[in-house]
Amino acid sequence: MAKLVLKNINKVYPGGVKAVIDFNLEIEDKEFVVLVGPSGCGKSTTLRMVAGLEEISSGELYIGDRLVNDISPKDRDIAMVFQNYALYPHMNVYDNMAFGLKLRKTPKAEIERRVKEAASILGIESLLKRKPKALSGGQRQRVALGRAIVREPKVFLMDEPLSNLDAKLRVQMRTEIAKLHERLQTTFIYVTHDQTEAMTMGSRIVVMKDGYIHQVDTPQNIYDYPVNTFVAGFIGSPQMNFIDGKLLKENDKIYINFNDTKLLIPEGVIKKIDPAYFGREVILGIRPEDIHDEAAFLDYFPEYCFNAKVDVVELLGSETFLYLTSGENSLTARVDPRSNTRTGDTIKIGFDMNKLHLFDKITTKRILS
Amino acid sequence: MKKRSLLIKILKVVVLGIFLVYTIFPFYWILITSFKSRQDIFTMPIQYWPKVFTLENYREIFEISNFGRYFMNSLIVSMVGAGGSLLAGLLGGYVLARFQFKGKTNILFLYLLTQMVPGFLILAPLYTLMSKLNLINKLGSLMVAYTAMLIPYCTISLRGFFQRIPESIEEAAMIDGCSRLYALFKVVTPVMLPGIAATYIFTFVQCWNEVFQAIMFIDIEANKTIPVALNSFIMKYDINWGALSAGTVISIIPTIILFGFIQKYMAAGLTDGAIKG
Repeated sequence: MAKLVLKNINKVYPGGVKAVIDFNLEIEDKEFVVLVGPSGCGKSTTLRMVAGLEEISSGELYIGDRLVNDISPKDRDIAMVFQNYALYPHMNVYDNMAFGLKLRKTPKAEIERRVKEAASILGIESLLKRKPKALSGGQRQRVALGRAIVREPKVFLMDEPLSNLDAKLRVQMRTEIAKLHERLQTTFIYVTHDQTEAMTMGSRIVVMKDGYIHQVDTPQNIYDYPVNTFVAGFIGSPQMNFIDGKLLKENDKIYINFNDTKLLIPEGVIKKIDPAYFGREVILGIRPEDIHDEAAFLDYFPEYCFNAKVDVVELLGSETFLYLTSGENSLTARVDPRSNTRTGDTIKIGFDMNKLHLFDKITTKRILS
Repeated sequence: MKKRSLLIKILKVVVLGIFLVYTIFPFYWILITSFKSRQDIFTMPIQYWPKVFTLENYREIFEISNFGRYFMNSLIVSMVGAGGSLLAGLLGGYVLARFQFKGKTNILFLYLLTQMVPGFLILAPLYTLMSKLNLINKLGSLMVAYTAMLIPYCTISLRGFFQRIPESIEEAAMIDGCSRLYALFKVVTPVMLPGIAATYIFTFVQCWNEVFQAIMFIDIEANKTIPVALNSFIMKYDINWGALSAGTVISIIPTIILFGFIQKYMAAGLTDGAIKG
């Protein structure tokens, strides 16, 4: 258990490729932080720098109060779970889990106690004598987790540990890792490119792109208040709809205008907009669940509504996705599964304007305070 | 259709059968020649199965020509040559597989280049070198020469095996508490045993069979190796076929034993179960 501080961390590879740029983050003790971003955003590199597997080009890394930049991985008191499990193929499950403890000269009885305890947490007691090749993907992943647990490290590092599992197992292991964190009460740093994993597991999410941190916040805040269009589009599935529009001021009221549509912006939202943006082009963002087709909404908020053509209807059982076109804009709406909309229909839809997101057209940054 | 597939099957068996006879026959011929008496070897019509089995040739090579000593010399030289080049290749191959540094491609190219130079070309300079090192007529000359000769092969071959082993295994070991070198020997090397075995066998056989340098550097009875001894059975006006065959049979025994021991590693996959499969 330890606090982690990453101060102005940079990673530059030979040849000048910058993988991580000015990374600053404080991770509290027992926190579950998820680094998320598309491929090549620097999240794995950052994790590997914390592990000591990758040299830090500049900056300072503290685990606890100790500067660990030049400390070798074995002396950092960390454990890591790899995407491809990285089990030792010539050792059985017990030896795989006991290896780190044996190297640290832990007494035999203590090793046995810890391995058995970890195995019972993970439900792999019956597999202890097997070699990795005789295990399924899910079992191998559990052994990899077990190998980390027995070490009782200060920090757990996980590099996309669920990416190689099938969809069902992934969901199951997701909750198990979250439970494990609750149980072990240790600092977890988890890397993933899957925004669902990030949203469901992390107590804080770090969204990265091109080596930069774009936003660090709780999952809910990242979802509700994304700092720019990248974060807004990356977090959430289906992703947020973006429409180029213009803020208009007419008779003391503010509208957003796009194509031939003009929607009223409610008072509460206007207060959050810098008046300098009135009359300027902006990017409007609206989440799929904030687009409505129910009669009650449409009747109550006629000033938020307009017509759109239904291109595709996707029935998922618990919800329905409508893929719509309005003028030049494509929209995705998440609606009630009982909606009887058909492909090809032109329907009336309404934006929940209180949930509106607005971004600067040039900087793509959020403009709602 | 059925008839045709049967025909193809028969054809396959026949072709493979011919190939098998073609490969096995020389071994068979050497083996039975080694058990034939001197008269029977030259008897016409040819005896494909000797009428009388005799150990006379074996007695001759061990009693008259001190074959046991040559055998031990060959064994020592080959084990040291193969072992030394393997150890150097293991470390060199690891570095070339895992690290990025300036001139890496050039080093690899140089290694490959050394493999293109015919052995005869370097015999004279090597002789001078050994002479200066005072190693002529000593087994050390062959140990040094064989190790040096096989390091490039071992390095290139083992580099390939290292590249097939996911780096994450040794990274996991390093996080678990190993230094890089300890991770190499404790985790990577056991995983790579099939590759190491294959490389060792190949280099061992190269040393075991090497004849030119052995003839060049060793000219005293006590330090002769098997190929040199076998060569001495070929004289100007006569070839001692019986002794030559018996010597050949004895000389292939270590190779057969080696393959016997190591074949289970050769057959097994390199990293079964280490990573997602």
